[in-house]
Amino acid sequence: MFKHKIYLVVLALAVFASCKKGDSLGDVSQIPGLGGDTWATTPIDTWIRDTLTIPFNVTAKYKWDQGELDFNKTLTPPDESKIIPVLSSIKKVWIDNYVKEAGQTFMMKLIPKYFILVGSASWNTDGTITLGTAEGGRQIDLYVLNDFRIKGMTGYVPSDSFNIIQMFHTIEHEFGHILHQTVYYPVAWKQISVGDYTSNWNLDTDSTANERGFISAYAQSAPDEDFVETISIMLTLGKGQYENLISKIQTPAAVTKLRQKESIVVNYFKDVWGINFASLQTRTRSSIDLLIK
Amino acid sequence: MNKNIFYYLLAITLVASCKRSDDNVFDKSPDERLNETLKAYQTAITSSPYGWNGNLFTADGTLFRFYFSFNDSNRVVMYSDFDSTTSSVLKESSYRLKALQQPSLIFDTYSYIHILSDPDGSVNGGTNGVGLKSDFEFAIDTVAADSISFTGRVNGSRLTFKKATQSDQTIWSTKQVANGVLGFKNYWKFLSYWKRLNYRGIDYELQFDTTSKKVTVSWGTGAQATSASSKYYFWANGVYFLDPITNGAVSIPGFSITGFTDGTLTSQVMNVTVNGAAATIKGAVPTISVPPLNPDVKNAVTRWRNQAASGNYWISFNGFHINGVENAFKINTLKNDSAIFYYLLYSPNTSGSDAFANIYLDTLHTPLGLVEVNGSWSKMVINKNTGLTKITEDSVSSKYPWPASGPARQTRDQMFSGSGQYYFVQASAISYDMVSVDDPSVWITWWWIW
Repeated sequence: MFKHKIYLVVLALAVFASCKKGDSLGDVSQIPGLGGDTWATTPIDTWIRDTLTIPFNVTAKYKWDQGELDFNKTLTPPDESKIIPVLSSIKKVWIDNYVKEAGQTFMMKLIPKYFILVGSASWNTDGTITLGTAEGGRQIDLYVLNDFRIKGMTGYVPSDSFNIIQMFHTIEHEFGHILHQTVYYPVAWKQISVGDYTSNWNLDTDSTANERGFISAYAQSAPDEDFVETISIMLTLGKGQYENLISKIQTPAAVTKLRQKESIVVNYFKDVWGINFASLQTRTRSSIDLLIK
Repeated sequence: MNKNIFYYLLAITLVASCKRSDDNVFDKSPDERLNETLKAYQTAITSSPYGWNGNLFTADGTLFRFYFSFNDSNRVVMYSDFDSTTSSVLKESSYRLKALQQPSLIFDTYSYIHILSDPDGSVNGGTNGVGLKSDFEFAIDTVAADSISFTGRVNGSRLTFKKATQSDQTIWSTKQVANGVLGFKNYWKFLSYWKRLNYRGIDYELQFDTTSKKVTVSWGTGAQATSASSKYYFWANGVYFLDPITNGAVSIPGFSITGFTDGTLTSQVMNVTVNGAAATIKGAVPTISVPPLNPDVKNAVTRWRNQAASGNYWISFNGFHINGVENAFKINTLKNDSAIFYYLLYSPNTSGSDAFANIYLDTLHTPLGLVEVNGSWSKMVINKNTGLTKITEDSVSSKYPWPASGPARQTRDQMFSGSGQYYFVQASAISYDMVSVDDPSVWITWWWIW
């Protein structure tokens, strides 16, 4: 028996020794692309770092990376000359105004961290184009940057303001999602238009949606979308144009619903975030006006 | 004791079996080799002292020419022969080399090369959502001493770099490519459909397809009639052929434009140089007895008819081009109370009469429908030796007669006017031009939309 024990010990040693994995991983610091793509820093990179990354921990990817985008779409990267005008407009209209109303900490906590900038529009199979998309409150993709022109840039025509307003609409919309995903809006919201939400919202125009008590056609898709569309359109239109929109609605019941929604939004901003919505609205619209008028 | 042997055997087997020696086929790890390759490519693309001439063939095979010069800090400057701006204003943007599935060169911010890939059709004349099926991310295929070849990663376009010489760089920087682009605009001022380059005493008939950037050159008559095609690009104050045209000992690599004198159908002249020697391009006037040089004219009309024989038809959006004026009758201004002009239609028929009709789009009713507004029954008689085609009107449609005046009337009258004879030329993969014999400044383009 003793002999067998010795054998077993020898065997165990042999097993340990034999299976020693001497496979070193090699020099892991040599893996290409580890830590992301690198390139020689340009003034644009420095600007983004100083203006967005250091104060808000936000980055904007303007160099082409197909992996961030839809593989089925033909898209192009943005022209370098558009990057700073776009990002500084975003900062002026959106970030700065929220900071003024709610403070730096609020913005640092909730701001989406990634902006993906695309030069061309994203063309859909039905011939329409997409101007912006967002993923999970973390990343916002902005398209058509190569056509971005604000007052003072060569070739600016008043119709360019449409693109600009749409861009801020996208951003305010997605930021609205982050707000209500952080602290939910009052349940009363869902009772206002209960039964009117539809997945066929895309067959309606904005004005027919208005007549049903929705601020836009897309707002009809779900209560969450309704909530953020209301925020985003109220902010980008400003008080004057918003009242103008309301005054054109023929159906009194629709006006009542929109007014109810308006008051929930205003109270939500006040009670949950301590933000004076009217003041934020004025600031946002006047910042937009500075870019287009 | 047999048991002991088993233990020994087992121990030996285990030790031997688990021996792990990493015999790499290569003496370095994949990462190290990838880094070395990327570094070698980086060195290669920055190594050319005068930059690179790049030929980019889109997925449809259309050629565009570029100039690139790369530096070590991810910056690239480029020209392109796309238009007069891209060929005269040097544009700087960024690039990077990256290990995707293959080592790849990515032009990662917008520049001239992206114009071809732009999904906005109004930017490049391509299809909305697709552009011209080009690329700006390229997999590196081969690197040779003075050339690099690439394949586009999405649409499979081909890009080849060739080391530019100092004189190549000068041709770009002194705007000679832009001059070529601009000078070529004068070519389209020729009133005659038929343009001929006279070089060393021989006439070469030129036929440019600007959509696919292809030229067809024809010379000789009768049994000697010859035709050759090449892609073309703008270069050295003119237009150059990717494959030079060779007629015996004579080689035509393209032409540099030195001047253009406007005038009448027969007096207009473009002065050019071919291989440094003076030559001219003039409008030509083929006749009933002297057909165009292009030998394909003989067969084009039969092909045109056969292609639409099974109940299909050819359409024209602009009607007749007359004496330098496209859409001379302004046919697209036609409308009535419920519909607007959509196209002219010609439907060849193998038994019985052909149909020639004016089609409107009914915008008032849903679904939108196409309606015939005016029409004639007609017939074509083709001379198989020359391709000369005589069109005669059998009768006017009793249901849809032509009006007494206006664009529709003028179009119908032009169609059957004079001797009513035409030559057909295949102008592109999807279009034919029908050129009047009575007056070579009169033609109509028929498009294939099927």
